[in-house]
Amino acid sequence: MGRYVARRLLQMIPVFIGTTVIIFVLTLAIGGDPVQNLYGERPVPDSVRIALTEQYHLDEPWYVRYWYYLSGLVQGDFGNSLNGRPILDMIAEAWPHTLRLAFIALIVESIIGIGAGLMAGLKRGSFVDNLVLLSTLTVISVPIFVIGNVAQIFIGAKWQLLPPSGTLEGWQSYLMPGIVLGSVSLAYIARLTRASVSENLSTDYVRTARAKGLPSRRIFSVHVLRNSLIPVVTYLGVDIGTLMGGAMVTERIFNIPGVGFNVFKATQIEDGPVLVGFVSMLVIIYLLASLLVDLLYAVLDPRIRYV
Amino acid sequence: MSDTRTSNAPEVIEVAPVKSGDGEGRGTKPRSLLQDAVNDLVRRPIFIISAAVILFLCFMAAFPGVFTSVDPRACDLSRSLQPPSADAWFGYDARGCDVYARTIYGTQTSIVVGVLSTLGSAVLGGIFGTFAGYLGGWMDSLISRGIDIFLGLPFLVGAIVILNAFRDPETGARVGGIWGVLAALTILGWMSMARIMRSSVIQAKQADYVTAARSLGASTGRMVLRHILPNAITPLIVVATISLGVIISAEATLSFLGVGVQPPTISWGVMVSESLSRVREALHPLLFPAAFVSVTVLAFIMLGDAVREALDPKLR
Repeated sequence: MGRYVARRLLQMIPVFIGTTVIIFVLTLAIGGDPVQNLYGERPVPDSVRIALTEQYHLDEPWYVRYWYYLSGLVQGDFGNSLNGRPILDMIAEAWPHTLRLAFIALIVESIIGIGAGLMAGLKRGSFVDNLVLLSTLTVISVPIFVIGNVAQIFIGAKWQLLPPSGTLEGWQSYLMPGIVLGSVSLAYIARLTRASVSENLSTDYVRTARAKGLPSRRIFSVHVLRNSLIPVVTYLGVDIGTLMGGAMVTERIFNIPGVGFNVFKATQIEDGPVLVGFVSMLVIIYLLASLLVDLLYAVLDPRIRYV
Repeated sequence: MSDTRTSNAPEVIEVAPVKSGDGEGRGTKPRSLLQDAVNDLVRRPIFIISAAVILFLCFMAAFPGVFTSVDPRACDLSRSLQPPSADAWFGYDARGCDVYARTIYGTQTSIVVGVLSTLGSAVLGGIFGTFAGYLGGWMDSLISRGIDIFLGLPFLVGAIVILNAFRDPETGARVGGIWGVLAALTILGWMSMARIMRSSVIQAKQADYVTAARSLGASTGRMVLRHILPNAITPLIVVATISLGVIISAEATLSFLGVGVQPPTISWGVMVSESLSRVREALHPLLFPAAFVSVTVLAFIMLGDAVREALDPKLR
């Protein structure tokens, strides 16, 4: 187990470098001349230009600059934004908002999603099953920006059930964006649970358990439920990574200053360093989440052992 | 499974004569898996409905003029936000443009981006997956690490950064057009297809008929094209059909965020985004394009589901 984790952590390094190199090189292309941007329309004094070029290695090729960036990153230095704010501070400020959103989304999608999927999968072809299939299909096909805006207009503005935007009203203001954020995954989880429950119900080991006369409660909880949750847990793990970065649309609609909001703002004002800093962070989270998923496999499925 | 194997084995031997006698023995040949699937598909109501909707949308995308004679770019501020009427079925938006005409013309963007970028991803993923699966060894590890790297990019962030990097070399302004969106969605969409193709090529590579073909002296190219690809491509087709809906939704999302297709190109995402500023006064400029995106995505997802059920032997 320890060796497996160590090997996986080592394998993450080239993937992390590859992903950040792509983002780094692509963001170098944006924004034009960063020194001129500081001065707007005014001419830049030569001494300032030389000093800044020296300080930020602006005349070096991209791989040298990437090397400086990476070695700073290893020491915990994410660099500064174009207006001179430490990016680490910005991340620390944005993170709590995104975490709260992701937490609500995860709770909603796992409880309702798994619950609906179980009810549908246990009684295939019933009214509940068809209802779950139809409603999940609807949620999947309506793009999230439509769900978000319509929810904001009706629930937030017209009926005033929940705060329509911003983060001023404590937990309540995260509730609606969290549910919107989790809605699509909720639909996928319900469908996934349904499919894997009905598949497991027809396996040989469930038939054997029935033939042995086990009470149906035990068959359900030990044989069906545990095995059905394996793909669902995988999906949830992958989803954690998506929730952290994919909240861009939701955070923008509901005006929540989280990670996605900051990333989007950075692309709008062409702040390359901020963009690279946040994306590096997101990549690390994604990689750790996928490691966590693989480790959870072993917990749920006794046939899988890591050495 | 066994009948496909027996039907493939004689084919290996009679390959050369069959090619010259073009199409004569077609009727007596046993049906292939694909023909089976097609026969199965045309009997499914879900497939028929979704295919009909998609054909209708494609027709709309190709010939928007058939559905409306109104110019979608002819706007008149005096009609701003007028509700739906007999003149304009979907009403007018804030700038006084006909929402119905704009929605019809917006179909083109969604369908073209969706179909072309799915096709691009499938070709790219298919090629990489086949190389990785067939050659194995260092080529496989190289391509697999490449897949990991691109999967590590968050989808929307990656798309925005790529779109931002497309710039006019002279002015430095963003080049926001269908082609940029197409490229971004293709670059970020091929990985899952490559993974699927890789594992299915590895599976097909070990089949008996491939060994037979190799022992008969077939060249590598011939083996890949004649024996492995036709037997390994099914999962790729399934994933590609399903991801069509997702891609169309992604295009609308990017346009909504303002980084995708730029005006004057008409797109449903842009229409939704533009309608938001005046949404308290009028809901119709938001609802109609939103409904069209949803129905289109729904049709493609249902088509993908039907194709998967028809092609996946496990679900039969």
